[in-house]
Amino acid sequence: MNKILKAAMLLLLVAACKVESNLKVASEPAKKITGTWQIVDATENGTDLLHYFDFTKFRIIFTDSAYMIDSLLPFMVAHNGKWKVDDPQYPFSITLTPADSASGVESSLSFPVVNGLRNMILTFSPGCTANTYKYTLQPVTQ
Amino acid sequence: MTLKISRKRWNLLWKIGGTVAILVIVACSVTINTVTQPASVNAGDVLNVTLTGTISTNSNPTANLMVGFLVPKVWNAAANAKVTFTSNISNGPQGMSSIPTSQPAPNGNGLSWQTDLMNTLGHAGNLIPEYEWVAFYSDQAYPTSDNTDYTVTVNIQIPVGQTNLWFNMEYCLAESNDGLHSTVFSNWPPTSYYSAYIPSTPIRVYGPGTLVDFIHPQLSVVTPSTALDNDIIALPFNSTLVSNGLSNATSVYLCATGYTNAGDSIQVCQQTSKTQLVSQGAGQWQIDIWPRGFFNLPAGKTLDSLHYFFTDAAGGNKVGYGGGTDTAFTFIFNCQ
Repeated sequence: MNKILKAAMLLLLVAACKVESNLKVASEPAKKITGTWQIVDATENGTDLLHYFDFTKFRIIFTDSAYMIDSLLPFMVAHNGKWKVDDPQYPFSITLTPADSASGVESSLSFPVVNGLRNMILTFSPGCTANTYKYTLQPVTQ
Repeated sequence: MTLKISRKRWNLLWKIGGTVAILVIVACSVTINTVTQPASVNAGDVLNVTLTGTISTNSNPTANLMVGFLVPKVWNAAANAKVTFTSNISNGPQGMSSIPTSQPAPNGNGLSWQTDLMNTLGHAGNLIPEYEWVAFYSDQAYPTSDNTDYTVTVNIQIPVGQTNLWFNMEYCLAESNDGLHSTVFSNWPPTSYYSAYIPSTPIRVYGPGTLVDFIHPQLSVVTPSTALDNDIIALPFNSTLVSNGLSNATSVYLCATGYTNAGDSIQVCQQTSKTQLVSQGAGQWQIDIWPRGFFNLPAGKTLDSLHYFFTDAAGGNKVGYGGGTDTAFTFIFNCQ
């Protein structure tokens, strides 16, 4: 009985030391940009804009390579077009190129998760370059 | 009773005492003696300011000189200003460089010099919140001797851009050991370690366009002061500043006319939710508008200027520039 127990334990040990060949190196998933986004925070030169200006109707819809804007506000661009990011896994900038324009408009981009929700923060100057706007967008859930 | 202390303990006491003494005496007191600033400068010119100061050491610290000044944001002085100084321990003009906002101030509780200066010294009574402190460090740190007075003469050159404005400047002189909140000497107030100076005469920049008056309370000043029709602009209304037709109004509306680059104009003057100002209490009101959207401006046209009044809910009581009913408030769209 004792020998059987020892043999079983030895077998367990050998099995335990088996090289795991299925381990994969974890990779950062591409950030999900597609979907409909709304503005949840907005500043101009660091001053809060939400209290005096209505951003609630603005929507931007990203599909695989195109974007559409609903209820335009001061924004990076004024017309629908194509979008691309500098790096799908670690994006630090996004470029929107309106369909009626040959050149795109670039914004710095960050993707913090706040209260379990993915935020997209865009920084740009639609008027005077000295006036900097920072919009925080979140996916529309309904 | 005889107190006997071993040599080993004496050595320890000396080390502790010496360390405390060094910690206590590394400090400077700083004084701005004079600031020479012109009363006015023309748009596009360079504002030349000369500041003299004295730094009195209490030991022999090695430190960088810090010069800060309060300016209108539109000057972008951190990037555009040139600051040099001469002193009685250096030869010729010494270079100074803008301090990055990411660099914490000494004894500043993690705040940048710029934020620490604003929190500590304020904004010299300027009424339009488009000011900023900029800060410059000497490119070198300078060794000093104890209990010695050092004199510095700082030259500040700031290109003032094109904006027509009136502004209260303020200056600060400090050094990189103590910052603005040193507590090295418990019997010294923190203000001993730096010096601040507000010239008695505000600086007037004569330029084109609407005067941006930081000094005098006004019924309505558009911010940002430099904006295009694709910016969001704030139109505040201080209904209590002078007696006017809306001093006791319970709701206030915007009545505005936009003048385009094509020479025509568009008026929006209905009393609706689109034009209603938000109350901030105590007779203060504000509306933020995106001019292109507000006037439904067609593609290809831009706005050159905005003329506006405020009205009551019925539209009968109208208030414009100076509290009167005849002259509109005006704003010229530009980025200068």
